[in-house]
Amino acid sequence: MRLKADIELKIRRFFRKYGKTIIIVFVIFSIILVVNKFAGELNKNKTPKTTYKPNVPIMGDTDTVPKKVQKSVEDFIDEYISYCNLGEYNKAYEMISDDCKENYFGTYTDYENYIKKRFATHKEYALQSYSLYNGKYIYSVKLFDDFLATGITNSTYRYIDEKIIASYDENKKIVFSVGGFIDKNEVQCVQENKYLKVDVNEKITFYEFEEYKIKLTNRSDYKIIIQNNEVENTEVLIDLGNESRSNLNTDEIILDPHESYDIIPSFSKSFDNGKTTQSVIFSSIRVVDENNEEIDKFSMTMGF
Amino acid sequence: MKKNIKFLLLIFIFILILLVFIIMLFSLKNNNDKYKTGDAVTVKTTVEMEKKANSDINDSIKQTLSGLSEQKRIEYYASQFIKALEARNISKAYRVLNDDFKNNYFNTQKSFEEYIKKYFPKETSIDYENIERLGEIYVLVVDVKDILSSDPNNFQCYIVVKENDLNDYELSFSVDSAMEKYSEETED
Repeated sequence: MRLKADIELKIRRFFRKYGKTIIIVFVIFSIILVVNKFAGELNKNKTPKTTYKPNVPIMGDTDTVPKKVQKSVEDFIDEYISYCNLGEYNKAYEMISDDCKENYFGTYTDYENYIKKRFATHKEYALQSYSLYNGKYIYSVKLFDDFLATGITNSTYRYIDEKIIASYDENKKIVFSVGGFIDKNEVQCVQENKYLKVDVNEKITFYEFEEYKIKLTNRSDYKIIIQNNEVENTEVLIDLGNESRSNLNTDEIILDPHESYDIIPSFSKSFDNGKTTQSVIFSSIRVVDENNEEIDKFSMTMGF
Repeated sequence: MKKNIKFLLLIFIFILILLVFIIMLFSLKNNNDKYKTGDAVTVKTTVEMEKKANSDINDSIKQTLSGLSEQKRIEYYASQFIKALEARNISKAYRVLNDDFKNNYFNTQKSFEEYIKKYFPKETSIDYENIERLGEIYVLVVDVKDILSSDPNNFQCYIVVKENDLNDYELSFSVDSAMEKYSEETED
């Protein structure tokens, strides 16, 4: 009985003396263990960090493409490229918007010719959101041969950069266009004088350039020269406010007396550069007689 | 009586703390064992030991790679491949080749070995001229120099790398590059 009381007393003294130390050591040790375990788990879950962010536009702001659009774009590209690789061009054609079909390709045969050139061999692709502007989700799709399978043997490193654009149509449905086609807009802009009538009907916007469908009518008995490259690169222009761009199509535009036809001048302009085209300018219209003597000269500015 | 219950409770808590402490010690020991190399106590056979050592080395490489930039990691993979070729460690180099690439050019390890022995210099230095990413693959333009040769620019080749995970990659290379150089030399 006496012995038991002694032991009890000793234990009580021990705890009184070292109890706090034991608890402190225990707590510190537990913290170390938890940290060690946590660090171990972190190491295990490490994955390679890359700069590849396919849904963050590389141009412009910090905006990211909404999840719903991301998913639609990824699914579209995957299916579209599969059809193209399998040669099922009609199925690929059905996937693109009516606007793009009608205004970019015109007919299915035009599309087929276009796509056959791009998919002459099996293509892999790399997707990257490029720009987000005016409700258009512009993706850059790089098409290339299967470099991993070939090692680029007996070949050179090159790829086709195709712009694919996703946007919502009037029914709030996501539609896609290819070949950098953005949209087509009707334009009502007519100017005329005693020699010439100019009627701007349509503006077709692509990611890297824009085209105008213009009807020209010679109202006179003279020949009218609009573009014959005598005045270097400045005969047909667009005005972007503080700068102008000249016509990429350098074919002659010459109207015989009372002749009328459509022209489609094309101008280099990035869709997302923030500038608006204010007018199309015919800067050097020359009226000439049968001996090519200049009778009159004037300019016309088709403002929008 | 009340004093006795209090005492028993104290003893019980003490034993509990002691038990938790022992369990924690064991857990820490096991955790550390995972990262120790060549621990003969837990490893019974040489094969197991080798496997464990390889896994430990791999963990350590992964740890280092995780701190490197994307470009440095890809260059590291390419240099590991070149080193294996230099050392004529054919099986190691063949292992990291992409399967489709193997099917296209080197159906067997033997054919790969023959190619390397014939066309690839034994002592090389490499310079990375360019690296570009195309989605999930990286295309490197590499100058391969034979340091035993007087020709300063031996040949330039493409190395295409795909990183699946840290220190887990597959690659391919332009087979014709070294062959063209070899043809030029033999013609001379």
